Amino acid sequence: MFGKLLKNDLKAQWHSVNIILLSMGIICIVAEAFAIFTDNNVLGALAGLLVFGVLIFACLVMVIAVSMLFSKTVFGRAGYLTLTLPARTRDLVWSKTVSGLIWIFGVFSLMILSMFIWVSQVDNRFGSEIQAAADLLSLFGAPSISVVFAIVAIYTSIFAVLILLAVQCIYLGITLSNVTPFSKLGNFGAVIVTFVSIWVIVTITGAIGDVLPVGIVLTESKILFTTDFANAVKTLGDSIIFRQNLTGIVLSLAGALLLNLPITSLIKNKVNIK
Amino acid sequence: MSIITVDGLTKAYGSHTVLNNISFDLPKGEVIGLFGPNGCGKTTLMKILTGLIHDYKGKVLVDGNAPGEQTKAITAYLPEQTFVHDWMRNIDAVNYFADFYADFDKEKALDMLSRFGLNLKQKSKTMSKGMQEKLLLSLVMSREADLYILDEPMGGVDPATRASILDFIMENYAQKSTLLISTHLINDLESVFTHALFIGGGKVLLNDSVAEITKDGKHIEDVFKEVFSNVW
Repeated sequence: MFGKLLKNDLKAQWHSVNIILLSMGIICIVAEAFAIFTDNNVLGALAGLLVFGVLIFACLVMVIAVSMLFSKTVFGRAGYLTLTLPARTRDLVWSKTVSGLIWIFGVFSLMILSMFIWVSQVDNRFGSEIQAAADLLSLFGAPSISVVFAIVAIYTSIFAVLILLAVQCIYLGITLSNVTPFSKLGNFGAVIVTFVSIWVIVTITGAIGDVLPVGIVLTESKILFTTDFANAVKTLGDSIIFRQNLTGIVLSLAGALLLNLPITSLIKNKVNIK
Repeated sequence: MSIITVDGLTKAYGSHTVLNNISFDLPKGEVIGLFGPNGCGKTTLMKILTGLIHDYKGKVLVDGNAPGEQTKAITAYLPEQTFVHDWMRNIDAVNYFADFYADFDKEKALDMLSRFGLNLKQKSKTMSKGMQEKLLLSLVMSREADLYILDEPMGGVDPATRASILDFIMENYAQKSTLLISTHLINDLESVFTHALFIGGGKVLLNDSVAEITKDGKHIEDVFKEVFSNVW
């Protein structure tokens, strides 16, 4: 059932943004082609920047579109269809969460990729020492591809967790704004709850991360997970290529997963479809 | 055997109590008319039965289970308003139902759409209210459900089409199933009802077989007027 729900949610999301995303895609392709083929360095760099800017805007559009679709398909008139399906409420919410995550993360990844391409193009145009993609990656102090992949994987996971957390907080805000007495605050209440819940979770998980640091440390020869993050950093010294405290992000993931419970419970027990 | 059991059901919107401690059983395999004046709680009751309203007091059972995943699998619900996503074409809506309902007959749905003259590629948002109603009816009646709950199924249809819609419902609902229909068009549907439930003033005013309540030669509408003249 979850697979069917996810398939239909991904499809519905596509239909909610296809025109705007295709328009942005065309702008990006034209701007990127211009950036590649123009002889004017300044205009070329600006065109690359335009692509980056359009994709930042696309990320915002995607977040709004995901929020609106959740609101419409659960609490709007389409809720009659969604909430009479023979599916568990938990699965309904998960499906919409995963769909939102996939869409936002997809557009976000394109934005990051466009940033790399833009940096590469600017470096090429303005005669930096950094020419090749491998050199570009050394911006992160990463001397080998395998270490670079590890770093990219870590950052990808962190961004995915943060997007997941944001999606869940948005869904919680929207759900609460459909439950008495929060419903009196309407969309304003939804926005407030979203930001407050993100702030609370990030603050708490960050604080716990400071007290109980569990981290990952990368050197050229090994990847080390440690519960004594400070000591590992001290011991390995200059051989460390990359380090990241993971406690906060793991707890954020746990927080995002746990948010499914109140959202599901509210939809199942408190929300009435008008 | 009861398909629906309601015991001590109370539902209020703020200070306004719509259903006030009502209890009743509805028999299986009947065509049941749910009657009452505007705002008496017919739609609220249907939403409770289909699991769309949760904050009520009392016990509600559909085929022995509280409204939930199990009961949704055996209940086909036609709400008063359209529920198909704006982006969906008719064929998308059919595929959506085919995806989720094990008892959905896709061929039957396609045949019904064809009978109604609906284009498979037409989008829901470009259709008139009447066309949307026909689409929803085709989707709902293509299920082999145990219980059909139809909220004003002919509300947006012109008088000339009503008879054909009614025939359509009666031809296509799975025999042995139960039909619960709310309507103000009592005369149009009188011939098909075998059981009647009257609610008003937050109470159940009458719950009996049509044969019983019309034994004096009265029509259901006469009984309706009689019952509700005492209430309002």
